[in-house]
Amino acid sequence: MEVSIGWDGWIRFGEWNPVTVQVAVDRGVRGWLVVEIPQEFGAQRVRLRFPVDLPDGGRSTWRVAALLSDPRRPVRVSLAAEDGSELVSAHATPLPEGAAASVVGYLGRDPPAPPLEVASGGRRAVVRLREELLPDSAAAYASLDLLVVEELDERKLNAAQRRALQTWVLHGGRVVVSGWLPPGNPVSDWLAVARYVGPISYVSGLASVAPGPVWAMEPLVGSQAVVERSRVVAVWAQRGLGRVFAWATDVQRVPPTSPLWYLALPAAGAREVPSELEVRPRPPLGPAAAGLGAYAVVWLFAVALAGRSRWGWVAVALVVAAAAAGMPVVAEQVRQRAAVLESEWLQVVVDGVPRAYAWGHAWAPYPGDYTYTLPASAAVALSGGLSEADVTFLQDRVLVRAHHRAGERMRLVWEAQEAPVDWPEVVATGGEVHLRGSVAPDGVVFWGRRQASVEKSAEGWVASQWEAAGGRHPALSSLRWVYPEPATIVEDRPVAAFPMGDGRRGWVVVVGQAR
Amino acid sequence: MNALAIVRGDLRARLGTRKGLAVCAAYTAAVWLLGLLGTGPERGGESPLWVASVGLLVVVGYVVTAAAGAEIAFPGEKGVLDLVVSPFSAAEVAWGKALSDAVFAALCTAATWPVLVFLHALRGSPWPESLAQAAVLLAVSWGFGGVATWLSAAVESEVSRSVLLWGGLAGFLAGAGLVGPWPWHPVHAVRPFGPAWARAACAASLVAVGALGFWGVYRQVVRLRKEA
Repeated sequence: MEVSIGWDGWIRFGEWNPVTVQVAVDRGVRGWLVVEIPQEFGAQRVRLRFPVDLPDGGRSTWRVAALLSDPRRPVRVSLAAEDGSELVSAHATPLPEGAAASVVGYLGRDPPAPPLEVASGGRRAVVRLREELLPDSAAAYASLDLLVVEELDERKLNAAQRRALQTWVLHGGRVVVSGWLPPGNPVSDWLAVARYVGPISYVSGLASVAPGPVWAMEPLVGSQAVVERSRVVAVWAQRGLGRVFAWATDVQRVPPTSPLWYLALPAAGAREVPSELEVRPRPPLGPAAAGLGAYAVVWLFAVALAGRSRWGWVAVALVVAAAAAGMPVVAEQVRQRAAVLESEWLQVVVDGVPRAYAWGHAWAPYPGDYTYTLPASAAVALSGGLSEADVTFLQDRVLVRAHHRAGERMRLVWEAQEAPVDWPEVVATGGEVHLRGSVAPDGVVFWGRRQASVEKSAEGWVASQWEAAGGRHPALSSLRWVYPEPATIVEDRPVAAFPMGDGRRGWVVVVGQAR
Repeated sequence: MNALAIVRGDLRARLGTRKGLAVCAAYTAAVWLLGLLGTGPERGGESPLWVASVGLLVVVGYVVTAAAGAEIAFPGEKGVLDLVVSPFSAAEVAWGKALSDAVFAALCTAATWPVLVFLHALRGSPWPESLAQAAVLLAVSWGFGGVATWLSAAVESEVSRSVLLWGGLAGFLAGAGLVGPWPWHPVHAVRPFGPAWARAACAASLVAVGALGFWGVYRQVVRLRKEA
């Protein structure tokens, strides 16, 4: 078993980081892969459990998104059989110098040279990546600021990894391509923003590129050129909310002071944290009253029988024994009914690709273990009031079993694997924004500094009665939990927001296309 | 064997009559309500479990004491004064009353045990804890029953007897808060997770009080027969 945490050991604490586990077995194993995350100075243990089914001589790689917060204690990974017995285990200890404020990953032979100081403080790590170990969920990319691609062997990527990379870019990720990526491959074609049109020439005296060879390139449709002294030094294009850059030279020859780095690296900005939800305990009186009431009635009948017959005393003894044996089952029902998980959702759809984020708060009325069921998720993190927890990732759901003391509140953050709610297509035409497909009637569209309610028209749904955006709309506020600057998104493209419905609290935000 | 005849007669009156069943139904309803009270969520370190436990102590103690002291008159039940003029010996009367009190106390305590198991399971605590609490309930209610039975024979005036019995028991139970945190006091000993020695001391002392009460019944029956 081999375990690596973060990006080749570099970790952005407080963000989703990849934990990569490679396992090879001689004999077949059916059981669980357990990734144990230490939290709160070792006071909390959160175990992420993934089902494992490896044949004889099997080999597999797990790419897990984990929110790491303790820089001192090791992440422990083990392979356990179905009966819980541990077969093999390994540790990965964060290095004290491995904490980074920003991570730039590269696929290639030689490292790029971005500025190593981060404007907001801290240092930037430059990490060599391997295609086969790239994350297979967009969530794990949260700790990566920029991916620099010089070489990309797509044969080493599986479909989930390709999808994760594209989803990450569409939702704000940034990629720099330097050099020639062979066409005819889905990711390479998708990342292509420029065309090489001429011979390599030697160029000097540029601020953005050190003296040396520069390729002649021109932007493809929808891309924009970055020009310095009449030379195209880079081309960039928007991919959803993200950006893809093509540099006209080797990345090693772009110095740390180059403006190209400042264009490519995301602006420093802090996301907001959702405020704690009001969690009201659900009185578990119904099932408790029913369970205790049923026992009381049966006991009374047995006692009445005991007043008439000696066999009644046997009935009394049996009723008491059976009730005592059954009460833990009733208690478990009452506990689960009393445990409340309040959650707030944000589903963001960019160019038809959704990501669904959720923040939840749970409140434990009694001490002990509680089980919460989440939808199938790519990443789950727990914090707050718990001492230990098991997070079991199943195909159709995630089970969180946490141990609380009475009155403790636990915070959950997760990213669902699939969008829970359908969304419409949002297209701007002239001064109107048209919505096609599944539309909630109480939606609102933001564009620039204006907003308009969604109304029914002859052609479908449309937003056309614009007014100045006033105050902070709750949908835009929740967008700040994912993007530091949602105003920049609304500035360029229409954004439609709908209450989530389907019994969920939250918003569906569809980033539309401007024509 | 004559003592068992007294036990059978008492239990038939307490369980086999309409009034007896009505009392049992009222008792069951009180236990049910206390069980519901105990499901309340825990706040600020205060657990409704201990409130429910003390409530169960009061309810079990009340029903067993009232039945033993003839405060609840079950149709057909023979009190100690009735048995003075019966062919049973004084020892048989005392043993019979002690046993009927014990069986009735065990029946009432057994009714509360599953409720205690439920309240403990709700909080993830082990079920033997509920058994220890039930043992305290049984000992305390039997001890109170012994005192009540003796008072029913020793004090002629019903009013004086009621005042003495309930005033004494209320003072004893309510006095827990006044005398300080004595762990062996029934109100403290019946709380969840009390020290085992305190529960043992409480149970032993209340069993001793009950035994004294029934010894007093024996002496009273002997004295009354001599006077007659």
